[in-house]
Amino acid sequence: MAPMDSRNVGLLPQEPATRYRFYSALFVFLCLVVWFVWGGPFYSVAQDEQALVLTLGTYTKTTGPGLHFKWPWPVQTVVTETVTRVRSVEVGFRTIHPGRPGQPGRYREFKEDREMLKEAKMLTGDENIVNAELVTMYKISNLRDYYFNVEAQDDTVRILAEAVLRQVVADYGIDDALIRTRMEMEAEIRTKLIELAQLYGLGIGIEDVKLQQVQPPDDVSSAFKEVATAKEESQKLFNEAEGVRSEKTLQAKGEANRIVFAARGMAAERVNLATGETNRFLKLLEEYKKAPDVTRERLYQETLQRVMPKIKKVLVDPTAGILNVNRLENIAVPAVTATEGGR
Amino acid sequence: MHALKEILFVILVILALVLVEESCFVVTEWEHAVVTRFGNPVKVVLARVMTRPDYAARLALVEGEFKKSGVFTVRRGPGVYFKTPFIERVKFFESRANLYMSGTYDIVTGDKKKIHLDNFALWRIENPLLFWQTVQDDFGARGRLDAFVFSNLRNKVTKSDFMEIVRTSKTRTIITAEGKEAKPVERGREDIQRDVTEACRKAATQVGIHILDVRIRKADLPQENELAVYQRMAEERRRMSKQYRADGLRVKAEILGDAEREARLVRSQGEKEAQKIMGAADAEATGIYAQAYSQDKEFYTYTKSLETLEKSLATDTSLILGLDKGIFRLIKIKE
Repeated sequence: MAPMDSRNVGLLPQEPATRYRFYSALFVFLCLVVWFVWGGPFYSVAQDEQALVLTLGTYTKTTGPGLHFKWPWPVQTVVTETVTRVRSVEVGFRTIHPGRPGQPGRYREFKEDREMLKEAKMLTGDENIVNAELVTMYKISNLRDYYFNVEAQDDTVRILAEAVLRQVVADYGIDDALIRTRMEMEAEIRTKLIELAQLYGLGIGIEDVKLQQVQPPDDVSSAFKEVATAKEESQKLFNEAEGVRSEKTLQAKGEANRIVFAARGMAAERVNLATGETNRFLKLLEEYKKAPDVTRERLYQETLQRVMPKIKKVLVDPTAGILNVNRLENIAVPAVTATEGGR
Repeated sequence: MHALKEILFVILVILALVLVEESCFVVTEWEHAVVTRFGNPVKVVLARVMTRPDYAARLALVEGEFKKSGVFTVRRGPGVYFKTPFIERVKFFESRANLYMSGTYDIVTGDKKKIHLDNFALWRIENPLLFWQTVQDDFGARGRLDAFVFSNLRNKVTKSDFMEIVRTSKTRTIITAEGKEAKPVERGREDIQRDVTEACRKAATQVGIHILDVRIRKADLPQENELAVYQRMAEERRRMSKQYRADGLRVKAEILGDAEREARLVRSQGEKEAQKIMGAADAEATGIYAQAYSQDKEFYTYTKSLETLEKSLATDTSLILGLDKGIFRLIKIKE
């Protein structure tokens, strides 16, 4: 035997029987490796995952992230699932590429896509039609429920989101759905989804419900735009009128102030004039009281001096001609004019 | 010799494995299992549904029924079970809820309108034996569900008005584009869904299925009616546009009129104030004059007369004076 062994210098055994034994050992070893890796006593759970451990089909425990020991297959099997990741279902559009900073995402939208339009088109509560897009974000809140209660969990969430969106939109009038009550509708969709997820035992938590777009259909969008234009025009008219109003009011205020100020001026003038005049009179009166007769005559003479040079005078001698005097007395003004030349 | 022994060993191992595989089976948490011998059930394993006590209770009823009949063994919950190898077969059924989608169809409503409906339901196998005997598998179940959902839904829909199917709740008031309240409905989609679910649930127990919920996924107008809706919508919007324009003009006129009123008010208030000021000044001046002139009424009259005389004899006044009066007497003296 010894010389035969010494011949065996290569890695592969030369003798057929030994070679056969080597191959079967290798086969068993490989089987063990496969078993160890795929069904063996260790399993690892990633940071964002949880695992359900089933012992002969029976639920045993839920484990968190890390490397864990288990009984090898077929005794214990493990189901792992990401639980921290937020999943989303989209109704009326699909995200093809979410986009990065500086690069917009790409979407399938109902505007270009008939399939999406079918999803997005829905009736409102007043029998009008709108196109709506919804995003629902959800997360597995209880992995055991998620796995044990519903078979096609994510499909179910998708269908639910679609049904609930339509049901809620169908309970609002078109103007409410388009503009006014978006938050209200989102809250209602969310409440309803939570209620149904609970009813079905989906084991998910609704993280967020967002109505992305609610728009009138293309066929009538021009009429809707026209309303917006009319609204704007109406607003413009209002603004114009308000402008005129403020201008006019300011003008009137200015004018009123002018009148009041002028009146104040006139009032002051009048009082001052009165004071001035009376002061002058009182001074004069003082002098007059000292020598009444002389002052009286002086005032008379001064007045005449001021008056006489300015006026036209026709001097008539009463003794000269009675006829002339009579004529002048009978015919008042023309006679005066006639005598002008005689000055 | 060596090799032959080993081959025999391998064959034995394989045989042992096959025997084990044939004689026991594992039922997982979300499964029912039925063991049959030549097509007859000998053992039924019902799921325990640990996460839903309500369904577990329903399954307990089924379990009780099976036990009473006593034809086969009944077990409950996941785990390892045994069967006679080779002559008994085991069949597994999902105990989890399954999604059923109906596809779309048109139904005529109670108010003679066509409605385009798409529905879905969640259902689970509650009695695997009955399920297997009546519908065999999921495909068979689909067919029956189609029939249940369609017939029950049509039954309700033909008795309801179009808007009762569309609208969710009967309590909410909807303000239409005209700004009026939409006609309230007596029943809403929720009521109809509840009724249909109830009816379907009752029917589906015949095939061992428990229906969790039947819902309307879509309730739309058929394609051919959409055009009419679009026309009506456009008409409504045109009317609104007109209304906005007319409102704009009306508001403008109102504001301008109001502006006029305000301007006049402000101006006249100014005038009123001015008159008041002037009145006060007049009064004050009159007081001043009266106070001063009443000191010597006779002298006042005299000076005022002189003033009046001076003022009234303007430049172009002509006077005819007698030479025998006043200062002009002096002329006569000279003669």
